[in-house]
Amino acid sequence: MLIIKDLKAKVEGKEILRGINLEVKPGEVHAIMGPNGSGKSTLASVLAGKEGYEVTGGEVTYNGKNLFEFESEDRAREGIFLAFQYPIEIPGVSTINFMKTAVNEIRKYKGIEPMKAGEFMKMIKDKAALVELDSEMTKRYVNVGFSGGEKKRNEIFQMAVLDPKLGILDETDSGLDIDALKIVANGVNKLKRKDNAFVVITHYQRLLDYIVPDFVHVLYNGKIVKSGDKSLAYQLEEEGYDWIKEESAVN
Amino acid sequence: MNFKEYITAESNNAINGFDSDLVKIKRADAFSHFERAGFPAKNNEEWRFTNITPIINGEFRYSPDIKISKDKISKLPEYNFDADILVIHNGKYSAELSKTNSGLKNGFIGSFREGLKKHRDIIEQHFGKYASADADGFTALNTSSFSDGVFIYAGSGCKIEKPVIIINFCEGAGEEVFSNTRNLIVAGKNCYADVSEVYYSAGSKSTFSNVVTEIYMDENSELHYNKIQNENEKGYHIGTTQVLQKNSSRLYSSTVAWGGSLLRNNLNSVIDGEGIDCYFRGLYMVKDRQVIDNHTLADHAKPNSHSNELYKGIMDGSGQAIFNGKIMVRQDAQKTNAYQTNNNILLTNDASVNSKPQLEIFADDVKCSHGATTGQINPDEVFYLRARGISEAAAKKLLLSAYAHEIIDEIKNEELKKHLVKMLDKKLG
Repeated sequence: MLIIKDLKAKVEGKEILRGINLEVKPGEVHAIMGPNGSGKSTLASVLAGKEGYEVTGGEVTYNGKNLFEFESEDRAREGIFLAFQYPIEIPGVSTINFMKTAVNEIRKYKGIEPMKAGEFMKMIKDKAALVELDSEMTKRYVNVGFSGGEKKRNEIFQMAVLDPKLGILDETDSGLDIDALKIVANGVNKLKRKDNAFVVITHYQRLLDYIVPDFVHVLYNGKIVKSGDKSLAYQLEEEGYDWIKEESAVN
Repeated sequence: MNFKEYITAESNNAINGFDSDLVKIKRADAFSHFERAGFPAKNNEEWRFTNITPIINGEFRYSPDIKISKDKISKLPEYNFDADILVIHNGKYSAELSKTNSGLKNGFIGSFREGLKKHRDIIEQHFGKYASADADGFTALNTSSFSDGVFIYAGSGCKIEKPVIIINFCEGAGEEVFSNTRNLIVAGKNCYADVSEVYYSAGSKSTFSNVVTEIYMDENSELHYNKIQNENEKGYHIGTTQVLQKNSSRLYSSTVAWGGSLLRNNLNSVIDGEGIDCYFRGLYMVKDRQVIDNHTLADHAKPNSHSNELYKGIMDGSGQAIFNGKIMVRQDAQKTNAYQTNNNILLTNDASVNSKPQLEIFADDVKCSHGATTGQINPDEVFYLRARGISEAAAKKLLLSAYAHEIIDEIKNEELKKHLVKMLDKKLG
């Protein structure tokens, strides 16, 4: 589904990603861990096509196509969803209106008629229930006045509505208490299928108690320096990142 | 003959012709003010950013009585609202096209001239008292030269349930039109009214609409007052709305300015009592080489009242907008709460805005604030929307629409609101 080969990228002239290799197949959950400043969020932003990130080397193929030939919105329409680390507040736009516009723009891209109002409302209700979001929240302006947990839950709700093939969660667990964390993780688990995949970016192991990854990768200094199964996450929890830093200094 | 010379030559014809000595005296007096003061000069601080040369150098002429076809008016959406409709064509009232069916027992909705016949005492009591002819050349010109306008009177306790729509339509028959409309709204104690002034112009020749609306709001009256400006690219408009508010009166004013070549609105309220609410809301959108100028004044003369202003602008093309919002708190006006916000979004490098908030406070126990922002559409918001599959163009439109909605949503007249939402959608492309 997603193949990243030797990906290098700069932000404001500074090289942050220094050769990333990663393959994600349908049905898999990958966790990307690493200390602060290792390049985790940069990777997410580059995949979503945020401006200001310059790809200086390597390639990314998504379902056999060069990802970088797609604009941000087309990546979303092709099934990539980024759950933001810091979701944006949009005064004046209700979540429901936001999602209606998004759903219909994606349908237009695929050559499908806009969704009928009744069908859309039913879907909103179902998806809100799936991620345990009070559907009244969807009538409010996007993220305006939301707590940190509510914002993250709203991200998962949007992910449920847009039903992506590849979901990228950028530190969705940061700033969440344990209850909010469980709800977010539950949402992801319910959305998990054989034909979709998730990349979960996180600093801490605790999210991985609830979203069980098939693979864990450690990103350090712009490179994946170690990969393993979920036991690697426990090791990081126990021992911290220092041994990774030391190992990578030796190599 | 330049415009001012033409006005002087026509002055005698213009001033006379009203069946009230008092009105006549005020008109003659106003004309001498206009002769002395003329049009505002370039160095006049109140007109610093607004170039009125195209008006001064124009060849505008009082329009002869020409009939306007009903087709032209009836296709305007507002004409078909469930409302009392008053039609003013080139500054003259059209009884034929107007539709007033309210049959008020204790009030009046009609032309200024008709009003003078039926309620002379009330008109003489209020006319020319609030909009001062010596303050401004355009007001002096309007006072001395208007031919007609609308008079709305709601006597004590009178609730005018149906909205009132005043359609101002300017179009000459081959010449540049000079239209002066003079409106007077007198809201008695405990009364209610919802009045909208809607402006259109048509044709290939320039039109100059010089409008003054005076509003008196007695104790505990409530007025929803909207001004919607849809003039074409040849339309010039200078307008003053001057309000006097008494105890516990509530003014909800919304201005939507998105047409014309040059529009200037002066909206002033003297808050002359306690427990008053005064809301000024405005949306302005310029493109091409349009100029839209909004000057407002919330003048707190007495204690314990509240004013709240929110004006928002979207500037495209080489358009220019001016916002000048003044809050005056006089010495007696203790415990005043006065707030003002002005937000501006520039869509191009050539568009501009001059935003000038002014606070003049002479009382010591007040709560006042003002804030002005100018910027572009937030790129983080655009990216967030694009990351959900929304195109860049659609994302920008959604964000601008939400931004403008905050003003339109506050309009009470549901039919007008719906129509404006549709118009907004079209304007945002």
